[in-house]
Amino acid sequence: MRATFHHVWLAVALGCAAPCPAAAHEGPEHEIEELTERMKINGETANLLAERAIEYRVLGKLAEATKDLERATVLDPKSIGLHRELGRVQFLGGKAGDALATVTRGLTLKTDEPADLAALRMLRAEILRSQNDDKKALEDCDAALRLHRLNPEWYLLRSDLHRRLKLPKERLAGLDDGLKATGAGVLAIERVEALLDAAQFAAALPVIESELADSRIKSSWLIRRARARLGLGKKADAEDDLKAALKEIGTRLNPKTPDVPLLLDKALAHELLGEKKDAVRAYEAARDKGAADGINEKIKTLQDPSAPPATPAPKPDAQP
Amino acid sequence: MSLPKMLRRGLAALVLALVFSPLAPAANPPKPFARAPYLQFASPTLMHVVWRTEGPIDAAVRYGTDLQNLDKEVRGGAIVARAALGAAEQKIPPQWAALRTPANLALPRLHSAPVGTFQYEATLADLKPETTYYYAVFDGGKRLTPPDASYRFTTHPKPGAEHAARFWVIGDGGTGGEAQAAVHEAMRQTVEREKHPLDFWLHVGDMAYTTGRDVEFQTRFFEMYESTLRNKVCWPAMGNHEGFTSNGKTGLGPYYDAYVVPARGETGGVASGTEAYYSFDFAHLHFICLDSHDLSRKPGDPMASWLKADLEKTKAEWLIAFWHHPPYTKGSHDSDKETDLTEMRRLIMPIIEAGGVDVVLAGHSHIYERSMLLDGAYATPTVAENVVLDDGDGDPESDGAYRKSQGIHAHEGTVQVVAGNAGAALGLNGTMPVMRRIVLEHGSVLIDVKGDTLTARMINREGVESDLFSIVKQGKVTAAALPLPWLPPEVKKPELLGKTPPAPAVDHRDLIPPAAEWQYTFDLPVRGKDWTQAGFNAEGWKTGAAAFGYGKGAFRTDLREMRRKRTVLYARREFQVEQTDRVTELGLWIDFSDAFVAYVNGREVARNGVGRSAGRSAQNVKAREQKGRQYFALPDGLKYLKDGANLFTIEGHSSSAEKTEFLLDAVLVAED
Repeated sequence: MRATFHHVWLAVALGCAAPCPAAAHEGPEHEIEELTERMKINGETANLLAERAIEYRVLGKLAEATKDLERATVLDPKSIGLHRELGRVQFLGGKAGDALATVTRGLTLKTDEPADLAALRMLRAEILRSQNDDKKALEDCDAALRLHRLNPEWYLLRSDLHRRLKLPKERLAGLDDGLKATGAGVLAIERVEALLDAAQFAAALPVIESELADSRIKSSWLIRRARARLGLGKKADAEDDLKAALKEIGTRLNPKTPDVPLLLDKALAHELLGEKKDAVRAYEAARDKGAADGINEKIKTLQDPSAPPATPAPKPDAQP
Repeated sequence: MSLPKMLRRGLAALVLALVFSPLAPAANPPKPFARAPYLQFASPTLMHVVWRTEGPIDAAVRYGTDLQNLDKEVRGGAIVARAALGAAEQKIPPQWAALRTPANLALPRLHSAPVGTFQYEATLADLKPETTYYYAVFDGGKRLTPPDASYRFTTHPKPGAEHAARFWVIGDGGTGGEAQAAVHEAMRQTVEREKHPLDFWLHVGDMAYTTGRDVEFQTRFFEMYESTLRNKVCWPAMGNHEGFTSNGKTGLGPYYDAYVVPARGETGGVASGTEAYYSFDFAHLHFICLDSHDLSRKPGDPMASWLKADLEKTKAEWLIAFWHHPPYTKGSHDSDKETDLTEMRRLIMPIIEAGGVDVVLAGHSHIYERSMLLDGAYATPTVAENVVLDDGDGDPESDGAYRKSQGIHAHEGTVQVVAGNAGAALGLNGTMPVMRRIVLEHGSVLIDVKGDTLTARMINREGVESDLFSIVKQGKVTAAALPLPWLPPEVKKPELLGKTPPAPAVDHRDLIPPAAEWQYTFDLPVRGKDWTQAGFNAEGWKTGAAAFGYGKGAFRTDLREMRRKRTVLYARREFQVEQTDRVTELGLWIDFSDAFVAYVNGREVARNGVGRSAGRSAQNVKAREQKGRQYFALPDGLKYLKDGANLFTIEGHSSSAEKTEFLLDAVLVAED
């Protein structure tokens, strides 16, 4: 962290226009005005530009944020943090190519904090995945996790890449590593998903049963059990689970303003029941509320009359 | 500043010093600590005690249920040590250089802490639930904490047990200023008066302005709240200001150094695997903390997936979520315009409400705002129509408490509380239509949960209750959204709001005190900027004490000869700084007429009223209309400070040689 981004941010945030109480601010527009005024008087610095870029980003003005960060990296070309922030803003703004170049440049910089480089590599992995360059993305993931082992999010990204690359053994082994390092519940859930995806239904079932017994809200685990039961040929039991899941989801969905994870569960339950129209409706609603990129593919498949029934079904691609 | 005002300030500082350490030595942190002992995450059987020293010690904690007989001890492997030992290329003070041994360098590192700092995190395990213990920190056999009953803690009740709970909620307090101290004291007085102590407290972020550096944590958080931190656990959420130096993805930085939170589900809830977000149980209450600052909020991404899983698992009777960025606000921030806030509303709130959360606590916006009972208000801009389930004020003595069914149920309504008013300058941008109470006062929130009733009160800095609402969970309630709910009247921004004059921190120290002697000149030809440099030969310059001036008022150095001849006064003064990395803020506390440009070690750090250029070439010098002292933070000055001797120089400008008054009276202050 030292000597990189945080040196910059330290000075950035201290660089409020005088007179200025440390905490006084009246929102991002006001901050932008103040910073612009300061730069008029004292000239541009990487710190001030980076600070203004944050405010632009908060307001969703990604083009302005990108411009400021580009200029900041010119003024302070050795800052890993600035490169990461620029890469992130470029990626958010849909300029994956530029983001890739920025992050790759950042990776050539020196730091005494390995986690900084790991974060940069993970950003590159995300960008590469968005370009379907999964193999290279996986290399970055592996390298990042060698540098810093404690972020569950990164293990999830790697798991997704293993899934996409059809590497079930590696996926499970990677998740086991992540569980050992972090103990994260989301990795335990992902491990069950990985078992189901790998058709290891019998191995998944005891874990699912245990989670079901321990949960207040059961629909997600009922759907997972249904997947396992379908895989084990217990169709009637699976249908019971799916209907119970849909019933519970019905009591929790706000029909006017439904939440995305519930919609995805609902869609999958309908899909597994072979209720394609209902599944498509739920997937479409989830997509419209901001669900993951893979949803369109799922909808397309469901609308294809020649597509085989979803038994056992893949999980919805929840990674945007 | 007038003398009476200075006296008042001094008195206030003295009072604060007494208030904050009634039972401890006067120094803060009390020697030999670099950070006094404080509690971190607790469970029915666990407690964590954390502290810092300068240099390593043979760390141990003794504890027991009898203050006179601390019969249990942890040391060795049960205590995690971290250290700040500097980087290889860094200049290391000699007394710490010898500590850069391979063993010490292998310790987890503290980020931005002064070199030589060691932090110890002791895990006290196998404790009895709901039991009060006393503790003491030791260095080998030497007791470091006094034999004082304030070093105590009470373990949590067992999860699910019905047990009354009282907790304190604050946000955006970490200025080190007088308002922050007053808000803390108001809570302490309230709790004392009601003879009902806190069980724990929640901080919803922005605890260490401006950038969450280690030294800012020390002076603006740990020293300000020391008396509460030593016996009540603070459960934190990271604010954007801490986010300048700490990173949620890597879990590194001063914020993550300061706190120990349950990443593996040790205190209930699903293990998050990260300290960026987590949950914990207290009796029949379940708390969820999110990182709203630097992690993705998207459904399917890890934090939202964990949130969903955690809500699926909990069997508590009450669900309370807290984070920094409010989903609804028109205070100093606007949740209809800022993506961090709109995303919390659009992406996270649906999961929260489908999970049956009762109350959401946030900060960021420097105001107190409290909503009606809401459900499904995810649209932008926020509207009240069809999202308010109960538009009353929630006060049992007025419109009645908000009512929900017994237990946890989806979409029966959530109350939103924005508690970003614990110290930072207040702000208002408009009126959020779903709010029932909007209060522009410094304060904090006290929440009591007893059985089926939750009661929250905003206690302002004077100790006066500025809002109260209750939620009662009984029987079965059918919730329905109101098509035309109550709308809050438009809140007008008070004239002075946002113009609160900035002032030095309560515990500032003078680097150049009032009435200090300066080298000065107005009648020598001063060219360029050499005079701002340490090596400058100030031959011919006079020496005199501040204040300098002519016209009305009393001056220690009368400059009446300057009138009608010159418009610029140049002044120089050396000052000492022992350890620059301990200085949090440098500031200029100045009365002047009409304008000035100031320099630290030859670098410009502030100007006011001088349009362009400086010295003889100064252009567009404006007459100052404001009277009295003004405080200018000198963020750039902080960068140019060095250990040892430093030079502060200032040029005071009159807007016209014909003016009948001139004044320059500068005091340079620092906060450590």
